[in-house]
This record gives sequence, C-alpha cells and structure tokens, in this order.
Amino acid sequence: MSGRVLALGHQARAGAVLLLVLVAWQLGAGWADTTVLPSPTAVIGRVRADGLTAYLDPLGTTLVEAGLGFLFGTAAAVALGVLAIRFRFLLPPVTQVATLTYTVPTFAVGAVLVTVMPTTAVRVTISALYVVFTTVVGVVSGMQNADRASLDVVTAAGGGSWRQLWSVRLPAGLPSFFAALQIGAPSALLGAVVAEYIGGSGGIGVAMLGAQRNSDVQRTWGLALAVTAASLLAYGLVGLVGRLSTTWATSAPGAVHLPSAAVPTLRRRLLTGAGQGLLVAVLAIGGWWLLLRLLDVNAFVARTPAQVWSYLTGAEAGAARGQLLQLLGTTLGHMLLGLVAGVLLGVLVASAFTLVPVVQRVLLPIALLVQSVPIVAFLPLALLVFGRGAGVATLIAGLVAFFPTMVNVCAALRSTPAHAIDLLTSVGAGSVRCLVTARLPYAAPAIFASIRIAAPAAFSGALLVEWLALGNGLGGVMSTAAATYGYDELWSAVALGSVASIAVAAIAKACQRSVARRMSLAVPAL
Amino acid sequence: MIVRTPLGGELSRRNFLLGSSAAAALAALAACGGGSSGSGGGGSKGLGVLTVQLNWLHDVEFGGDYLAQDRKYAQDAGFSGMEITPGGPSISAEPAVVSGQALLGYSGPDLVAQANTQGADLRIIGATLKRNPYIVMSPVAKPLMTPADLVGKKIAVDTQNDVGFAAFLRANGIDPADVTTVPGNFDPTLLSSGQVDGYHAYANSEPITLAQSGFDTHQLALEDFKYPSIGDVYIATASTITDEPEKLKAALRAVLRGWQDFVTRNSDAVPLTIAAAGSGSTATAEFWQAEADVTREYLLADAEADGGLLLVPPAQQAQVIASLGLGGITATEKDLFDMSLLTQVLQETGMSAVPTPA
Repeated sequence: MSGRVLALGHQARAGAVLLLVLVAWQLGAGWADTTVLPSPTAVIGRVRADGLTAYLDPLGTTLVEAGLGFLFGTAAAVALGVLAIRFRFLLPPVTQVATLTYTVPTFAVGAVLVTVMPTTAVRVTISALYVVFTTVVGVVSGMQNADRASLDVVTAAGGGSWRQLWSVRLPAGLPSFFAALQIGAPSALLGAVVAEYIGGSGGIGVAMLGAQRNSDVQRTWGLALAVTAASLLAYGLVGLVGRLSTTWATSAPGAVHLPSAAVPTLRRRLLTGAGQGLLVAVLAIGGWWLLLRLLDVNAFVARTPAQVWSYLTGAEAGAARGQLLQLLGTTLGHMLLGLVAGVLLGVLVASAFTLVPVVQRVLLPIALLVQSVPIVAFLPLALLVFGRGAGVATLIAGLVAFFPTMVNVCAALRSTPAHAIDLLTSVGAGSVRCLVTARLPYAAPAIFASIRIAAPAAFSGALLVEWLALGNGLGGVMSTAAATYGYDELWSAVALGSVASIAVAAIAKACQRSVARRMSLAVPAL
Repeated sequence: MIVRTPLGGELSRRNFLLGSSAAAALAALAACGGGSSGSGGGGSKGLGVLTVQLNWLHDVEFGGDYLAQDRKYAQDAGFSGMEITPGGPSISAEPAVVSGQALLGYSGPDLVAQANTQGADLRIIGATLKRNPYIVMSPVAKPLMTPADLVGKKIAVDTQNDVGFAAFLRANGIDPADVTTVPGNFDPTLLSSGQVDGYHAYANSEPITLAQSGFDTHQLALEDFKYPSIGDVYIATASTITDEPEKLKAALRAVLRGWQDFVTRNSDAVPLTIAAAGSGSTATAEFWQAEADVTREYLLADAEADGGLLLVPPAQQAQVIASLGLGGITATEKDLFDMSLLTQVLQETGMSAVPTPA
C-alpha cells in the first residue's frame, strides 16, 4: 500500500519538474533567438492554426509503421530468444545475429530495400530492426536467471526442456521481457522516423522534411513534440502493462542483469573469442548472400560479399580502401568523443544522484522518460543551435551513451556490498569518501557493461548524424555513394562500418570481463 | 507420443512436426528466391499499370503527371491505371526504373549519366524543364551577381549536386577549390540565418520558400552563365525502348496530354498536389501556385520552336553533353538521349503545337 503512495509521489514530483521546465522554456524563449527556439505558446498556437489533423495524420502513419515494426521485431526476438534458451548451442549464433541487426546501418540498407519492396514495408522492416537487439538480450537474460530449484521441480516431475521453458523460464523472464519492451517501443518509433527520412509518402519524417524545406521551425518543433509525446505514451503504457502483469516481481526495473559464468582459462577464452568471431563472419556473409537471393535484388543495386571483397582487396583497391579507412577513422573519432562525454557524464550524474538522494527521486524518472525521446526528430533543431560540426555528432553519440550508463551505474552504486560501506563508515568516512573508495570501484563492471551497449549505439548515432547532416565520415560517404549510384562504395562502406561496430562491441565486452575478473566479481556469460 | 524412426532412433511427435515444418518453410523460401519478380506489367488491360517513380516528395513540379492521373489519360492510352510513387532524399528513380519497378522515372541529366557509367543503360526520353533549373540564391542585401562573386564565399550545395556545381565553376574559369561548399541538406534556412553566403537551389522551389517567409533573394541562373542544361527529365531503360516501344509511346501520350493541360491552366494541378502531399504537408495553395508558374515558364522555354513540349532537340542535347563534360562526366548524345519515341508521338497525335496559357 505504501509502495503505491510512494509511486504517486514520484509521478507528482516528476510532473512538477516537467511543469517547471515548460515555464522556464516559455520565459527563456523570450531571450533566445525565436527562429530557432519558439516558445511553447508559439508552438501550441501554430498547432492550432494548422489544425490537429496536420499533426495527427502523419503521426498516425508513423505509429502504424512503428506498431507493426514493434510487433514483428518483438516476435522475431522472442522466437530467437526461446530457441537460444531451449537449444543451448544456438545461444552464440543468436546473440551474434541480434548484434548484427544493431550494427548494420539500417538507413543505408533502406535505400537498397526500396527497390524490392514497397516503401511502407521498408519502414516496418527498419523499425523492427531497431527493436530486435535489446529485446533478445532482455528475453535471454530473463529466462537464464530462472530459479534453479523450480527447474529441478519440473525435471523431478518428469517434465522435459519445453515444459521447463513453459512453466518456469517464461514466467521468470517476464519482468526482464517487459523492461526490454519498454525500451523497444520508443526504439520502434525512432526506427520508423529514421526510415521515413529516406523519402516516400506520409509519416512524421516526411512531414519534417517538408517543414525543413519550407524553413518552418515552428512546425518542425510541433512535429517533433508530437512524436515525442507518442513515444512517452508508449513507454508509459508498456511499463504499466508490465507492472500489472508482474506484480509478483521483486527486482527493480531498469538495469539488465546479465547471467554469470565460471571463469575459463586464457586459452579457452581466446579460442571462444576466435570461434565467435568466425561465427559472426559466417552468419553475416551467409545471411547477406541469402537475402540478396531471396529478395531478388537487381544487379544494378546489389553487391555480393565476393564483389565487395574484390573492391576492397583487388588490384586497384588501394586508393578506395585507403579512403574508406580514413573515413572510418573520422566516424570512430565522433563515436569516441560521444562515448567519453556520455559515459563521464553518466557516471557523474549517477554519483550526484547517490550523494543527494532527493535529486535522484525527482530526476531519475524524468531521465528515463527523456531516454525515449526520438533524438532524430530533434536533429534539425540541434543543427540550427549547434551548427554542422563535430559538436552535433558528439551530442547525439553522447546522448545515446549517457542514458544506459547513468541507469546502470545508478543501480550499481546502490548495490555496493554492505560490508564495504560498513567498513568505511566505521572509520568515519563521509558519503563522498564512500563513493570514491567503495561505490565507484564496485560499479566498474556496470560502467563497462554500459559501454558495451553504448559503444555500438554511439557508433550508429555518429553514422546517422554524418548521413543526415554532416556529410563527412563513413555515414557521409554512404549518403554520397547512394546518391551517385556508386554501389560498390556504398556496400563496402556498410560492410566496413558493421565490422568496426562489432569490433568496438567485442573490445568493450573483453574490457568488461577483464575488469570483472580482476575484481573477483561474477563474469557475465552473455 | 513417441515414434520410432527406421534407423531405430526416437522422435517425439512434437519435435518431428516442428522439424518438418521448419524444413518445409525453408525449402519454400529458397524456391521463391531466385525467381524473377516481374516488371509490373501484363495486367488484364493489356499494358498494365503505368508506374512513374518521382525523384522527390510529391510536388507541383510533377503537375503534368498528377493531371494525367486525375483525368485518366493513362487509361485512354491503354493502361489499366497510373501509379505515381514519391521519392525523397534517398529514393531516386534510377534504381526503380532499372529494376523494372517503374516504367518511367524522373531525374537530372548528370545523375542519369552517372548511373549509366555504373551500368544502368538509361535514356532521357523527354524533359519537363527546358532550362537548367539550378540557380545560386543570395540575399538581396548582399547579392552574388556573377560567378566571379562566388570566389571566397561559403555556398550550400546539396550532396548530389556537388559535381554539377563544380562543373559550373570550371565553365566560368573558377577553380572549385576557391569556393567553400557545405552540405545544403535541403535546408534553405542556412541562407536566411546567414550561415552561408549563397545557396545552390532549384529555381521553382527554395526562392519561393524563402520569399514566402519574407526573405527575398537574388537568383543567379546557371543557364545564363555558360552552364546550360535541362531538368526533371523522363527516363526509361534502353531495353524497354527497344523491346516495348508501344508501351512507352502510350505512356508518353498520357503524360504529354497532362503537361498540355498544365500549360493551359496550371492552377488545376494545385489541388491535386495538395491531395497527393497529404496532411503531412502544410505548403499553401499560394506556394504551389507560385511554383507552378515558374515550372510552366521552364516547361515552355523554346518548346514552340523545338517542335513540342518535352522535346529536347539535337542542338540542346549537345549543350547538355558539353556541360556534363565540364563536370568530368563523359557521355554521348546516343548514350544519354532517345527522342525517337516522343517525336513519333508528337507527329502521330498532332500535339506538336504548344497550347497557350489561359
């Protein structure tokens, strides 16, 4: 009972802060350049002048695409996750397939997909791809954390693996599943908007292109806010459904707990790493070739793995390869800037929350909500404010890195082993001393777990900004190559970008495991 | 229920069903793949659906096609219907036309030539804009009047126009390295907010946008400064021209009638554009009308003398080729243009006379 009262208090406080933000925005817009930052009243007035239809219609189209993408993406992720749990040997390939959906630049793929399927189908596909990775991780980790004793009960009663799955693992995985769905809903919406930027008919993305072309800042704000409101609503609704379905759950939502494994020898680790790398390569190249065949992509637009290989390693490949690698360097630079900024800020904010718990109770729910804002909807506005330099790339990559870091580190700082805290307080250490000497070091694995998610996300974010706005780096060359029909270059850039993204994720994973091992903490198995 | 297989192993019924259905699904998928997807033709009405792939979002610059669709000129010509598919920043017509998804597409001569160097084998079979539609906009307060004024300035250029812009500079004896270009990304506020000194834009589009928001611009037309060209050209594959000339001629008949109506009264295309663009666009009727007027101006440039709407005579073809050459794009009239079908249509239908605007 008191829990529910406390929850109401949360919402009231979050609501009060949001109101404060609106008021500050209204007042601040008076000083700032109104062509870039119109006041809330100006935006509302504009929405009324245009009529709600001009906002609800495109939003409706986007919601349908995102809804379908969410459905298909979640279904695919659940199917993959269930398979990976039921058939143990499928876990590594399933994980790699999920990672691949995360690392392939979907907008570049979109330009090719429009030649083999209607634009709406392309948008639904891209939206689904945005959902797969996080949902697979949520499904698998949830089911793996099933209670050992319950599983034994099923076996003792004569049930097989499927029975275990149905009766124990699936229910056990529900909290984690709903947490993943909560991330998935806004991701699907984000994917749909990004896909609409490719072109076509209808949707918020197309409406924003039109508004941008007419230098219509107020309408751009109106559209961005409309899709943000929908995103927040989806986040809240899914969260509500999740809480109602799993009232028996005890673990706090937000952080994903990765299951732990026994510590293998160095030789074993190297072999496993090499094996997994080989598996990724086989799956990626095999899947690539298979999709080209199944979709019957026209030879003008399609490039097989063999063609890309010869483009990058053939007789005259030197210049092309050198240029692409240089552009990759630019993108990695953008990613690193964002990653460092985002992670540092995430740790700082999480530390601040720990030192001043009141601030956390108010701001954390808002931060979680803001996480679901489709960043790409505000990109045109970010460009107006920050210009088209590395600043915007850092901002987007940084935002993507900031949230998972802050959420995970917050949870980790709260879960420091009691004995460590007790020891310090018994010698008179203050809260800052505790933070620096005990909480932060014990949170190190969580920081690295966040980097594992944030690094490939930051890389994708950097690619997106380069494609949409900056025109430099690997994202920029993808945009140029698509526009000039240089499909050799486009496919090679996409392949190179995916490899780099996977490498970044692998390095982050290795760091995380190394840190966990050194600190004698549980090493994640996933 | 347990089933014993011939080899003595056990196979639970559930696993067997699962396994066989999975295998069947994969086999079906593999069988489907590799089969060619037909090019949208062969409908019950003979020629099938006339599919046109635009190279941008819905816009009144495609007004002739909207009129043809609305007034069922495609059906008159033997098609069962007409589909106009919008493009966008990353959707151009070349891939759709090459893959057979669309019979006709819209493009620009430099992009068609570029696609042909990559093996597309496309031909320009008509042009709606008979002057180079590209201009450099600058504020009236600080106008850029000649190409020489561009030296040392910052000009916004959309990525796919980089080559054309550089060619224009070279045609006027200016080294492209002396002019700073930034990605325009279809965002004219770069000019009105002062972030750039000039903006490489489309005559019937961005200047109107800025004028409507109160920002007047001076326009430097590339056509007037040694870089003549054409715009919004119809493209088709060379193989379609050879193998299905009657189908293409029927398509040309349909769109030609639409464009004739556009010349007579271009305001008819405005409500059609608003309907096509949908509630996602807040462009006003006034905006579309202003754009339709500029489009008609470019459509009519020398049309009478050249022998009909959409026709690009050999002399103008040579000019376009020359301009492309300046951009380092080598193409010949034979690889890029094929006016034979359009010429036949103009003669057969007697539509070579150009109507006068009402």
